[in-house]
Amino acid sequence: MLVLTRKCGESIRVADNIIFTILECAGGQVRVGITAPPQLPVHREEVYLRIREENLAAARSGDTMDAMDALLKSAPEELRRKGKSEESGEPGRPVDSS
Amino acid sequence: MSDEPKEHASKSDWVELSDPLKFPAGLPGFEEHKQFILESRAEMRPFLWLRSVDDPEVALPVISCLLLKKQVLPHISKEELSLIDCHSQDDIAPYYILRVDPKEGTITANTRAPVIINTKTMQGRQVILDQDDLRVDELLTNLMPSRGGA
Repeated sequence: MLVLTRKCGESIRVADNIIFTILECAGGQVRVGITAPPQLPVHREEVYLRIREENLAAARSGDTMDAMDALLKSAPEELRRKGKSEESGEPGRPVDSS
Repeated sequence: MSDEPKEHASKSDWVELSDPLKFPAGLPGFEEHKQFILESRAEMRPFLWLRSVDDPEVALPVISCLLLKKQVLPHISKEELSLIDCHSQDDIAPYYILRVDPKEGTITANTRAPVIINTKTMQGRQVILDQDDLRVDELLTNLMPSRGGA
């Protein structure tokens, strides 16, 4: 890991379009301003890891027979009615069924 | 993935409900998976599965946010929309990824990170919303429209 020492107000540039600026250091916390292009979303690490873990857990349980049974038994009645009325909102269908 | 064997549902009853959807960034946890399709089984509607084209063993249950109460419809920023070449929230189909807990009999929805699909270009991505009050494990029952309207 590259380690750099910076003072408040100083910055670090990554490539030609990402800038980290140290805004404030107080009470054991550091406020960092980040400028990055929109195609590079920035998140707190723990938030990203939580989403990642949720996705993995969803996939682990998602298409087992147990999960299907649980979905059918636990689904609110309103949702099951909507499912039958084909309001599921798919973005597009295969060509052969349209 | 768990080492325990799991009994997959028979694939024969699955119906593909979308063309292949392009996910240039993959999904967190599945970064190498760049294409998914939406599919389901008749008796499972309105629950859908986002299944990886690259590895069909990877499938995440989802539900359209449009079926839930309007207050929980995610607001997607212009910057996030632009990442899938979209300029209007009206052109996206938003979904929440679901987690099923058969032992507890619960279904939770990840409202913090909806999956959005550009219905014109069939590009998709999972958006991590910058709202700390949104839960990754919101009970689906809490997201249902109230009786008599949303």
